[in-house]
Amino acid sequence: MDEDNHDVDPKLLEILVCPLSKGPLRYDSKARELISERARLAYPIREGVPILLIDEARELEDGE
Amino acid sequence: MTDRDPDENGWLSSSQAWLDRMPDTGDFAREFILDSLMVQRALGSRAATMLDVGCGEGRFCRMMARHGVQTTGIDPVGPFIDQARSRDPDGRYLTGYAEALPFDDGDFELVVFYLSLMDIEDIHLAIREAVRVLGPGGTLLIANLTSFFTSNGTIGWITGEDGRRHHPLGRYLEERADWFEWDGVRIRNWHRPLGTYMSALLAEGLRLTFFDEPAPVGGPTDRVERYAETPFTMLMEWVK
Repeated sequence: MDEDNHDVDPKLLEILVCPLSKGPLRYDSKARELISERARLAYPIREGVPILLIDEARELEDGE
Repeated sequence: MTDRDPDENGWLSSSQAWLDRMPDTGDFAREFILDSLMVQRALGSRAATMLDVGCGEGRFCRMMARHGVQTTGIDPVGPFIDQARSRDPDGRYLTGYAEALPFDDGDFELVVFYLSLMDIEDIHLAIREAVRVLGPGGTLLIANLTSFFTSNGTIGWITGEDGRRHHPLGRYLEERADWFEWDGVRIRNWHRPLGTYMSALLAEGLRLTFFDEPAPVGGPTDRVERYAETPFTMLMEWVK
């Protein structure tokens, strides 16, 4: 697998917000997720593409 | 969380068939009717940043990127975004809905709906979101099928008493979505009266600065003749 190709563009991350809350997103590079604290959702990044669909997001667990 | 069907309008299951039939130059309506005018208006806006809502496989983003515009493409159909990225690895593409844009207020100088409004479920929300992410004085550029054309729905062409082919209006004032199938593509398009689009855009406080129902420019003669028989596309430019 070509890891470089699967990295998400940092300049794109800078302008993204949560589509639900419009709050900031934190990039969790290990889990490859974009975390919206305000909406308590984690959006996946697949092969470098942020998937900002509310239906595809994972609900954060307590304490996460 | 919502229960939105990711294949609500058939684009997900039709994505491969669509990619197979769409040349890089675009289909007839894109290549010979809309492209030159869309590029001209987009460049005329002098925008340095553009968001393409419903960008599909990224064709218009690539066109504008060649003119030095910083482009971002968003589409809910994952396979289109994968294709866009593979054709333009340096471009910015992501998966998301027009009704819930993942951008801050005022992030873009130009927002484009290039033949995508008729695929979008809630245009009131989508237009509100487009206007939200536009900066002050920003431009909203729209190419869409004309409401004359979409009102026809599934009636198609009929032969009139004069023996000639006609593309009649359907129930023009009735907003509705119809399923269409061709070349392995099966998608749902919305018909909305022109008044619905105009009201939604005016409701956001936008000002109309350009309107056209362009005729084909060049292209094969038989196709030009066919498209000359009915108003097919319209182009609108609004300013925030």
